[in-house]
Amino acid sequence: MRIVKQTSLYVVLTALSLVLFFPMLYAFSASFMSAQEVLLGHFLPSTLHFENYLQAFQDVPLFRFLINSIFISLVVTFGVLAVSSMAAYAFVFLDFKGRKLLFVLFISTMMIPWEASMIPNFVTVQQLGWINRYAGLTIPFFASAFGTFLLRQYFKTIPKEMQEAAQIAGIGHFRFFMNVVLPVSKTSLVTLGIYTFLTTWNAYLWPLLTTTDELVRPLQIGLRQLQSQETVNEWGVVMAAVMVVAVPTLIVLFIGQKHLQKGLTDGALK
Amino acid sequence: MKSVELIDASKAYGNGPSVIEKLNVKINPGEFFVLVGPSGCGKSTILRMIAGLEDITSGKLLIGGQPANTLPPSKRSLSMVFQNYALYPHLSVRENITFGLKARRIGKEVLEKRLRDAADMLDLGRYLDRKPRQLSGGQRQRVALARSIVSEAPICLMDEPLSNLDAKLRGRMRSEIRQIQRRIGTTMIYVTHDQIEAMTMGDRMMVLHDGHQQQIGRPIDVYNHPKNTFVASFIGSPQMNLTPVVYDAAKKLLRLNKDWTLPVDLPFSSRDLTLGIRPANIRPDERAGENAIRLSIKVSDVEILGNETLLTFLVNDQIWTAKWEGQWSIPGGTVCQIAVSAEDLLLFDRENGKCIHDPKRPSKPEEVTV
Amino acid sequence: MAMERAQVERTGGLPATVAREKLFRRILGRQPAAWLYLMPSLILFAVFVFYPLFKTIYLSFFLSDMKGLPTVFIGLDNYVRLFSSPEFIQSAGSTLLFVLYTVPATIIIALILALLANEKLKGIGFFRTIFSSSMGISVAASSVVWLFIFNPSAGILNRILSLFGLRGINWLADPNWALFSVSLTTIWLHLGFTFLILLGGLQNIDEHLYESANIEGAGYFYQLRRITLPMLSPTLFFVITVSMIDAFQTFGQIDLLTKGGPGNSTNLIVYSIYQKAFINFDFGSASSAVVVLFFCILLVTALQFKFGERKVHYQ
Ligand SMILES: Nc1ncnc2c1ncn2[C@@H]1O[C@H](COP(=O)(O)OP(=O)(O)O)[C@@H](O)[C@H]1O
Ligand SMILES: [Mg+2]
Repeated sequence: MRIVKQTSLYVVLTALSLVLFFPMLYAFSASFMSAQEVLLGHFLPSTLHFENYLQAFQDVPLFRFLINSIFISLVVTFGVLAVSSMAAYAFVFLDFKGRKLLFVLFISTMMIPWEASMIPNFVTVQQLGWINRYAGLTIPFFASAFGTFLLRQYFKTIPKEMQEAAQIAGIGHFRFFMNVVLPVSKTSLVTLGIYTFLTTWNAYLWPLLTTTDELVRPLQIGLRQLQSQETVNEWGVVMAAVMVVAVPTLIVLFIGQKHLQKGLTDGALK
Repeated sequence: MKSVELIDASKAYGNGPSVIEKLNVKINPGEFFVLVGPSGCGKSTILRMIAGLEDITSGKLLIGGQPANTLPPSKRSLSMVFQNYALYPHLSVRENITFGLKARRIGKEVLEKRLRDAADMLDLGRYLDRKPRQLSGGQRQRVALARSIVSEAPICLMDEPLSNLDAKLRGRMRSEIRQIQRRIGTTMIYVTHDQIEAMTMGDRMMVLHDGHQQQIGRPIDVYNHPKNTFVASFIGSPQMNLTPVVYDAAKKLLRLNKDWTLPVDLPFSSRDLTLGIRPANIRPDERAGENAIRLSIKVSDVEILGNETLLTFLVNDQIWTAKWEGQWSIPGGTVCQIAVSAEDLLLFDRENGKCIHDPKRPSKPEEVTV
Repeated sequence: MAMERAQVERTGGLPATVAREKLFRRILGRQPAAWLYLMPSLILFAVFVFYPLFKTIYLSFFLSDMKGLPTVFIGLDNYVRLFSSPEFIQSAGSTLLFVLYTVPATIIIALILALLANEKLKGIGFFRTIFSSSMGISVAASSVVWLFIFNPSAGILNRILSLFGLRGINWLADPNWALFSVSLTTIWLHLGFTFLILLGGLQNIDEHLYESANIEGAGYFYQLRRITLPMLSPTLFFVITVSMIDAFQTFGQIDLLTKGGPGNSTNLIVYSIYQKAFINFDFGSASSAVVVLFFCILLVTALQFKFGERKVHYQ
């Protein structure tokens, strides 16, 4: 009975996995096909056409885009970690006037959709001369209400006595923050880091608005550029580019899935 | 080593009512001073006021004779051991112990020596590279102690450091902490709700109730000569028997109820009193002296605790306990004779609870003078 | 002793410094350092969230020139024009339809996946990773993949249809199918995240609840109805809110798959705002649409806070 149940579960799980992952498998397979094969609607390539990848890197500066995406995502990730952890520290470990009110203000920014500020932000970034600059793609995203909230939830579980012990031992706030609070909160920092990396890597609308040339353009917009450049038949090349775009984040996700799941659920519910 | 003195110190949280009222105490250099009282009476608050973790609402705090009200915690030359130990979970035992020293830029050699001495003293040598979560509760407690020892602060504050340990370990740590304190000579202010710790560890203690200081003195003096009914009932186990009585000055006797009287000669007029007597001072008839006052009671329960026996019986509808040495197997319901001697009777004013008659108290109270 | 105390009285006060310190504290609170830690967030929020929010509202009351700058104050005219324009009405309608197509489907499928992936089996971690994988795939990448899948001649969907002898569908160019196709892409794209959150919610449910139910002999579906779903309700609520907000904000899929077409049938609200603002540079009218969107999202979030909060107390 158990065996039957288990086997049928495995069958169902495998079938669902195939269905869900099918688009990616199909794209992966197509990325090795010749234009001819694609047109004929083959499902598997007869020979592996690695040229598609070469072609993708030649058609657009895909390598440049890749570097841009990595750089932008890392900068935003560390920016968010620094800025949010500092704010969360103040909310948990420091006593100041208007703490509650300010926290409500922070939380309220979560309710403001990013589109609501998009138009003036575009103007601001333009006036700052940040169009086609890394600064325009990174700095506006450093402050994160979600990140502050997530870290605050975790910091609150650190016993107050730890801070008091530090105070008595003459350990200043900054040292306590750097040497105790941050190391102790490693897991939630990793969660927030993965989350931020993924969302930044996948961002679309803002980079579309603020990168008009190829210098700082990230992969997503690069992919759009490639897709609109390619003639209808070159699906293999486009799929090769898709792989370049998707694989890094898939790897990050596969490594950090457990972290992310726990961290996001905690952040959502506590 | 430094003294700590509180003068009219009071504390209110925010705009709330005051939780500490006009505390006056001087703790001498090198003394082991215990703050004891039921939970919620303000012990932690006092300790945190001394440590600088809470503001003092009014009154003065002197450390080493110097005003310290506005000094930051790190400048008050003290160390503190917390109830939950407050160890840093990501640091090894070694790093936990030396964390504060590194912040103070203590030289490496000195640091190593202090670490070694403390580890030896507390038997932690083998665990230095472990993380706190790999230690038992008792070992964590020792790390917290070691952290306080290496700071070599002249004053050490402890807030119920033993309450998370099991009973056996608690007994051992009691004497260990006491010994370490003697060895390094630090001024110790030790908070507990456990009157046994207070009795066994302190040079002196202060009993607290609802933010008011009740009595300060050597444990034995507080035990023998409680200043009021609160102290009388809080210190000592089993509790002191307390019951309302009336003194009849004309007949020179204390009347408990219509058939219970104790003939005693007291130097005051008839009034309402509370009578207090320690269970150990209620003796079996045959072991009492000639002048003892004898009463007959009906035993309601008997507990033999190894080499001593607790008898309970009703007096004035209140349960009294007697503690007798040896094993007495008396069936419940037995009527038997007990004896008390007049000099063991404590009498308290029924109105304000103050002790007004204590035959054994020396004419001049032997409190350590400030 | 009296003398000692008197001395303390004299040296102890330093009244000037104490007074100054008290004043500082009154203004800044006990630990003014807090503002240092908050400063980066505050500045960034001020510049990139609050200022632009108010600026958007401000802009929505103005006509704008070709550079997008405000020129003439026209009061509520932008809003009046917005609500009387058939394009906006259609766009709002499509957006609502899109929410209706995507949100329930995403959540139900993700819930089924999460329930399956919550079973204790060997190698379940692998399946969990696969189910959550779309979270790691960007809007751009997945849209391009689906563009390929939907391709009328080379795409796999029409191949499959032809296997069954059915006529191929012009998935993205047929006004009857375009919104459905975009919805399909979106459901697939959002499954990963929704699954991950729901799985987390399931794993937070106390095992003991099931153990006692098993002892009482309650069946699987009974347990699902009586334990799992009620205990999961806060998570479900959260996921519903996030999915709705996500759906309202859909942009990338539209830009890559249909560009709002055919015949505006997939011109969802954010895409129409984008066109107004950055293709036609009509910031005024775009801003008024943004304000409408903002209040819709605010409403959804407020509902989550009102009902979600209460449910959370069950835990
Ligand atoms: N941070 C605080 N804010 C308000 N009231 C407090 C705070 N800390 C303690 N109290 C109150 O002060 C009183 C004394 O508390 P505490 O010093 O912790 O007692 P103890 O340590 O003797 O158990 C209690 O009534 C408690 O409720
Ligand atoms: Mg306490």
